[in-house]
Amino acid sequence: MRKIKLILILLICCSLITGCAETKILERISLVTLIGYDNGDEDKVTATTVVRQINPEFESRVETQTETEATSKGTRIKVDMKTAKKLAAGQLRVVLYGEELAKQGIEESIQTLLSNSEISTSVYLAVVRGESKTLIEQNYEGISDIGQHLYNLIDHNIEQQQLISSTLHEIGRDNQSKVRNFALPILKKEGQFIGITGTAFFNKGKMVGELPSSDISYLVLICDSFKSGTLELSLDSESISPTVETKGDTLNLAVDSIKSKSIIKVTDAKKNEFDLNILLKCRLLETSNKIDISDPKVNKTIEKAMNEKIESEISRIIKYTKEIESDIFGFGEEYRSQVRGANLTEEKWMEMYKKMKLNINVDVEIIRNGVYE
Amino acid sequence: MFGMKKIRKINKSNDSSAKTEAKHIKIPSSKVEFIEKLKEITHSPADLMIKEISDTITIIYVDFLIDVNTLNEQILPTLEKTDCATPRIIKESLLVAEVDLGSELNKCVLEMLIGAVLIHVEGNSELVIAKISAYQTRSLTTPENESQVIGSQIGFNESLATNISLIRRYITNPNLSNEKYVIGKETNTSLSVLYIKGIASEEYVNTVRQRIIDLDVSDILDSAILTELIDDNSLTIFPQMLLTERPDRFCDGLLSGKVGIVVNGSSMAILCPYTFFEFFQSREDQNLRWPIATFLRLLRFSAILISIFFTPIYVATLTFHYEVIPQPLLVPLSESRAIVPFPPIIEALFLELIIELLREAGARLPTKVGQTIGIVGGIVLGTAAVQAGITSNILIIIIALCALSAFTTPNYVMGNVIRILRFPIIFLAGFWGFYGIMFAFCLLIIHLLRQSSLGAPYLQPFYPPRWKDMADSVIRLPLPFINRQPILTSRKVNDKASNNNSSNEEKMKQS
Repeated sequence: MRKIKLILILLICCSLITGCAETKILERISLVTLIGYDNGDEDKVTATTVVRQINPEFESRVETQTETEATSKGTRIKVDMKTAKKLAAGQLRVVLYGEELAKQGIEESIQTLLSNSEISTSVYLAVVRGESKTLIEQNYEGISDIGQHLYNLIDHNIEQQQLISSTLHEIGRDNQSKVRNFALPILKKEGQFIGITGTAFFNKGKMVGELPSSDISYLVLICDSFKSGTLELSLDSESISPTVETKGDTLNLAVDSIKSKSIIKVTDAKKNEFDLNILLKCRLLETSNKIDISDPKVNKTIEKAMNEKIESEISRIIKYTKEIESDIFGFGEEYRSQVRGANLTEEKWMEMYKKMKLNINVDVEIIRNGVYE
Repeated sequence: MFGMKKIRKINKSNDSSAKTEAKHIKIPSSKVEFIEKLKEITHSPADLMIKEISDTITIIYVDFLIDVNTLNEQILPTLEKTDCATPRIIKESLLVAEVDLGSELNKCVLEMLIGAVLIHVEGNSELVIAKISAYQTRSLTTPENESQVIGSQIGFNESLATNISLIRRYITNPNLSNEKYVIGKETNTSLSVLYIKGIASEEYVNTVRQRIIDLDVSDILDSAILTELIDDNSLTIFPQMLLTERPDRFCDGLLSGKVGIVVNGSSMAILCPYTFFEFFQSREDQNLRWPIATFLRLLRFSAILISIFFTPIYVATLTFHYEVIPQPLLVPLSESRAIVPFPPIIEALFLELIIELLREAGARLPTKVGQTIGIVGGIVLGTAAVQAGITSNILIIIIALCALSAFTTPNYVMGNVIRILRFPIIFLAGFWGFYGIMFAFCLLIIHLLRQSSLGAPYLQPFYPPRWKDMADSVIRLPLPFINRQPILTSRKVNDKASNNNSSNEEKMKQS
């Protein structure tokens, strides 16, 4: 009898609780796939949303809505008033920030995105040269759904390691760390196309500097293990002569990384000295001159020249990040984890970062050549 | 003889009053009295044949139950030759294999109803029972419900004697024990409990014996009813004993230490104890090369998961969790759903119901009409439903996949369970989304863990983990790795356990 009572109570509870679950039936909601935030007037934010509308004629329509309001939630309410179906952000793939807004700071916006349980943390973030509104609202030929297009654009470039991964998860992690900054890709409208033009560096959530897209490979080389990216180098002919003869002043090379490893080591905590060891095993894809790579001498020379070239490029980039005070590589995190009792604060680390002494050792090894896909 | 003892035992143990009364009916020595008494007991049916051979000898049998040839060629000539004889002489002179003397009328009548000729000699209170029964049985055919490509193509039929002879053809072994019981107050159905002494665990044999003896039922018409009556848990949806119509599968079970029951009049034999995972194995797995058998088993197990959870996941995703839909699927999914006026749960239940109706209609209809059902269901309902905008075409694919997956279960009873399980989970998914599915999944696992078959854990070899038995569970390793007597039915393990238990019980009693 007691058992029956228990089952009865359970059943009643179950049937009552069903009312608490909020249904979001796929075709009865408008799916937001892309949001672009811009600076509005008087401390307000302009949100441009790309909404996928599903209608019964077996075709889906993409519409863009722009609203200006003090908070992003406010803009959402306003957009909601304009759409026939309830807005749902769960399928959001890309969030864009206008350049001006990025310079003013996007820290709060990242926090808002993170605290919305509906939004996945695999959303990509990017900065738009100019205003994101103009980039989104333009009608592109051949791009039916700009949300999907931008997602694919960023996704495949990150996959191929031509971009630093900028998912909400990683940006949120870097942002919450006191001693680390983050970087976002910069998108630019180029006529009928949208291209990736560089990397924006942030400090305390504010965009402080940028590097062109040609430097992205080096950034990935430092930050990440380089598995599938391609690196293009031009070596001075002086550095490789007389073993290798070149036609012009430079020898242009393209290498494809097979395996790379970057290790940051604190060699002297007191003197603020770091080691950055980069091991790169690569295959030679292309050269501007015909060179006999099977000759071990030539091979050695080229490897050595590449080491020097990459070292100089990296030190240039690090110098730039020191100037703009943006540690996107995580030297601060390494210091904090490797040095006992470091007690780093944001300000303290920035001071240290600027004075940091870094020994860069690059070890390139060409292990294959001639065949690639 | 052993069987006869058993019957008496049952009579004693069950309702003693009625049976003891019947036991006392002695056979009248006078012919007239005997015939009258017999007619009184059997209520003189139309097919009762009473034949007076001479002044003293009378034979009685039930028409169509006996082999007329034997009667004509063996019994009648012998009886005519021996004129004034005692039943003992007749018994010895009859050229029939099974001849017995009976002194209890009731028992003799029972024998007559099975197919014996009773021979009464004037002035003797004993009857000669010549068992020359001839059943009208179906010839042995291929098993229809458990078909397999490679392997023997013979199935049980409805005759107990034929079935046991089939089993003895497979296992020629004096240790093959056959215990005969008669249950059912109205039907007197005979059944045999078969096991191999030395392989089968005594504990299981005793349990089966006990459960059969304790039965107090009026009738057993099929072995399926018996399984429900002697199950560990009759309330659960899951079968705990295997019903098989394949003698090779039955013998395979016996040889691995299981206990088998064959019921007269049923073409399905029972094997127990049986675990959940064994229901998804087919005898054919043993006949195929091991990588193929392993692949097929894994396919079957994934089919269970697909069949139970695919539709609920669809319902939950489209109702609550649109976030998890991969981006490439988003557009086709939403476009196919766009014109459907119902929420996903109604849509899914509607289609599932159609499939179930089709299956049920197909099973009930004569085979010739059954084909039209397939056409009506597949083409008319399927395409029309999509065109009318009642369901989305992606759901049709999912439902078809689920239905197909459910049919891969080699056991029909278990296949039904897998099909039906989906419905409550669809409801939960429609109400609570993924939480509901997880809730159902947990309940299912808890329920399965609580089940047992003859006291053996139902989820063996996964819980409790029996690593040695894993070789022949969801995978099948090459034969040398397979333990022919799994721990489940191992004599050593189980008998040791039961001895411990019994000794404990004794201790308890003493204290």
